[in-house]
Amino acid sequence: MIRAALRAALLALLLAAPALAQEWGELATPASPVNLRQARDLKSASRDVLMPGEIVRVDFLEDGWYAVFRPNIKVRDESKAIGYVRAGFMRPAPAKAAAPAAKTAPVSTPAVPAPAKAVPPPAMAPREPRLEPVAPPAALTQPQAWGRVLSLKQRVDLSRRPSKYAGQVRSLEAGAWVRVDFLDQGWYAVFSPEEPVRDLAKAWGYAPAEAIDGPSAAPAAPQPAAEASEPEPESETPAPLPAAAPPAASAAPAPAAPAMSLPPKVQAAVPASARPVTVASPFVQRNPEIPVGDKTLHGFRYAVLDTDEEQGNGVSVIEVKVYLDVTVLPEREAIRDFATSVWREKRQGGRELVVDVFLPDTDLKGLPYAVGRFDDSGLQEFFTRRTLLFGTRFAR
Amino acid sequence: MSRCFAALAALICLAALAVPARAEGKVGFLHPQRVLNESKIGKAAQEDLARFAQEKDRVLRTRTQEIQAEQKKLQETAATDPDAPRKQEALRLKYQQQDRLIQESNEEIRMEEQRLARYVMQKADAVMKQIAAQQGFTIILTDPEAIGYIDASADITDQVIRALDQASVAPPPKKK
Repeated sequence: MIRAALRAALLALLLAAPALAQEWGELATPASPVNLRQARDLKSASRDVLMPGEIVRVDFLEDGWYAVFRPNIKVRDESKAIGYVRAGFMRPAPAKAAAPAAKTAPVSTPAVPAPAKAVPPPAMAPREPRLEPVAPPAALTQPQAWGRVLSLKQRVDLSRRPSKYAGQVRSLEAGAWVRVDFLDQGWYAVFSPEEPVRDLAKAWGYAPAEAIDGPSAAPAAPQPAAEASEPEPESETPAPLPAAAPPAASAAPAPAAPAMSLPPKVQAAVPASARPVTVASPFVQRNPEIPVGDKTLHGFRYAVLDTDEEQGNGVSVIEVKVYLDVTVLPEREAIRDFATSVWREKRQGGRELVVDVFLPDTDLKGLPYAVGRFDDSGLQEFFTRRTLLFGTRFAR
Repeated sequence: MSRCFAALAALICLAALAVPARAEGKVGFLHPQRVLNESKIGKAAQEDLARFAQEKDRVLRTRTQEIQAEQKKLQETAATDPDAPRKQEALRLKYQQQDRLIQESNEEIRMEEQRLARYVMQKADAVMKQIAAQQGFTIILTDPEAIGYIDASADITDQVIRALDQASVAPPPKKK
């Protein structure tokens, strides 16, 4: 009996095995023609071009690159990858196309493109921050969007009500963090900086505006409720007003008198954004390579770091990496003219030439500061990256 | 035997005490998009990208004008030029090539965006790790979509932006 059961279980496992073996990676297709590269590197050679609609299996996502497999590969083994592709270009294969493609489509043969009316599936690539401005979710940037959070510049005695005759409920030391709101007749209601609810009933007490904003604060004039807590210039973390009008000040019950100093919880509740920070510069390189300019061209001392040639779209491209040995940032036009002079020296008929210009203090294995692209007729495009000057001697 | 029980009980107590200690790990948050939008280097990267796109646009525009000029010339001489069909075919190929160039340009702009964003975020990452270590954070989350609520005290984005801004204008140390 037991043997029979075991045999049945084994049989079920064996039958399930092929299905289980396919349970890895994801069937995907590129959104546009994309190079299938030999390694996870834009500079690595292109093995093939994946066309939209062509179904492949992707897995082993690393550094934004997928390893690409034929869709019918059963074993999850990176050594069987036919190449690598940037994750951002891949989309999940449409459900209908995926099933047959998994059995038949060879990678080098473009499959029939997905129907144009199909709803575009969400991008498979992990969400990456974009340089195009995108507003952050308000819930994250303004978790408690009311009043003002600030650090007291002096010791402040809180009153039970907005009156100097109302009696003192507690004292706050200079440097203590508080949230203030409901400015009315020269008095602020003072709250815990962590207080999520704009409710006078939660106020610790009241403080004169002079004590919060300093002696130069506006005179204690009655203000309309809607303007009562408008952020002021010296505000540390200004927050927009909530839509609701504040309740009447007289309705606020005074909080029970706590200890004279701030409780530890409040001391610890200083917003992280306000703490002083000292960090080592991320721009300083550990073992910087400092070439010496051993040649002179166009008035610049320079060194050729590397010359490489690769094929792209049927065109041979020579890439020359040049280090400019300068102490002052040259004008953009001067670098462009220098790059043109390099092209004149290095050009070869029928080949495009790219001149990458690196500056001192920049990572010579990273992005170049300036790039000039030339064809047989001369300069085609030229651009610089001011981003790379940050943290260098050329930063302004 | 009773000693064994006592030792076991002590171990259990120690383990029980250790659990809350481990649970006190501080979780922080960094908003990568804000770093790109608000830091000086992030803004510079946006400007670089805009200039890069303009340069691509300039190249494409120049080529388009060249092709259009050729087409106009061909239309004017089509009736008299015996070589017109061959020129027409050459022009068609140029239009095809131009379409491909437009696609490639868009692709290169996207890649440049990724390169610049990655460069900025690598620097921000280095700053973030230092701040996290200094302030005792054990985890820093960076995916705003995965977070329902975060207290201001756990958000280190402003600190990272400020530190990045300070570091980016500081001159590098003098080489020996």
